[in-house]
Amino acid sequence: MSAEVTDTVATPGTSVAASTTGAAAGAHRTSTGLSNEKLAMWIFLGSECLLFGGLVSSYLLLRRNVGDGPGPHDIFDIPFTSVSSFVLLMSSMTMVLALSAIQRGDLRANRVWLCATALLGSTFVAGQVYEFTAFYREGLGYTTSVFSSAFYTLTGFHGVHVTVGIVMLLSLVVLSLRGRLGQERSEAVEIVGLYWHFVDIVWIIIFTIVYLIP
Amino acid sequence: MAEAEARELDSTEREVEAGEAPATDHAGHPGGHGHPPDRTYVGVALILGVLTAIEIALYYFPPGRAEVPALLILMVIKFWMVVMWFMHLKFDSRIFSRLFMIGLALAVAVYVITLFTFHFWF
Repeated sequence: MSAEVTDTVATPGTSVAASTTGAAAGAHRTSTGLSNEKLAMWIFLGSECLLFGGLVSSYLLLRRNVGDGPGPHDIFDIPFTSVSSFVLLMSSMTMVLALSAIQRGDLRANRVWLCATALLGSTFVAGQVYEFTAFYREGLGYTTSVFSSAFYTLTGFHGVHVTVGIVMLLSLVVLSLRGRLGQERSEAVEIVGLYWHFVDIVWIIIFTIVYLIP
Repeated sequence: MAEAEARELDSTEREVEAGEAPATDHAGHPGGHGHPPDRTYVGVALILGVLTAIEIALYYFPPGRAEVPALLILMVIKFWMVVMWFMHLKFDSRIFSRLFMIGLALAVAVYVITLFTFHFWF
């Protein structure tokens, strides 16, 4: 291993080698030995923890301020939201299967799983729109109470994230159909997958803290 | 310049040998180990589904004071499973884990302090 690594710094002034084994010969060279794009996504996701942490803690602080409007457990439809949660969990599975498919070079299966993930994500978003509409009809508008503002802001931000994820998934499908997403670019699917799974874990937290905990 | 790079490289090499920066994934990208077979992912998804069903059961049949801790524990287990298996932190470089955990720990610390400040707990 030492010889393999030393070979890569033969030229002064160039960046330290990314590849640590011969198998990584085709990969980009970076100073950390890791993919910069993937590293950037992880840093972004770390910062997203702060965004959603702020929204969740704001909701926790404000949820008792229901004013004259309905409270959380007057309006929540737990069976419906449970199905939505299950749909989003399963979309994480289809996402990781899409990555697995492209990594073994099965581009058709990759497209199928990407489309399945986008479909499940769309189902989740559609469920959220239906839920918001139902809540509004029951008298819970965005400005009805402090609780409603905190609730809609938290779940709305999450819904926007899911929607952005769907756009990214469909972009990958289009790239694949145009022949620009081959096995050698599987990292693009992996990075979008990281984002998608993050959206899933945020919902795992929201579902428990907002909907289930009394 | 070359010496500095060589020192940095030595550090990278030590990290790799210590398992800090795994070699490559399937596509030859640096920073990833080989990932598990598809049936493992399906198994993880099934476990996640079962855990969600348990959460819902706890909501409808609350076990008294244990309800909230049980729900929180299940939430953490589900979070951990998605991060480790679906996001591949179990197989990828520890640098990715550290970056994510730094953000997560910072968020938890900041907002727990905030909740204390606003007397959320008592």
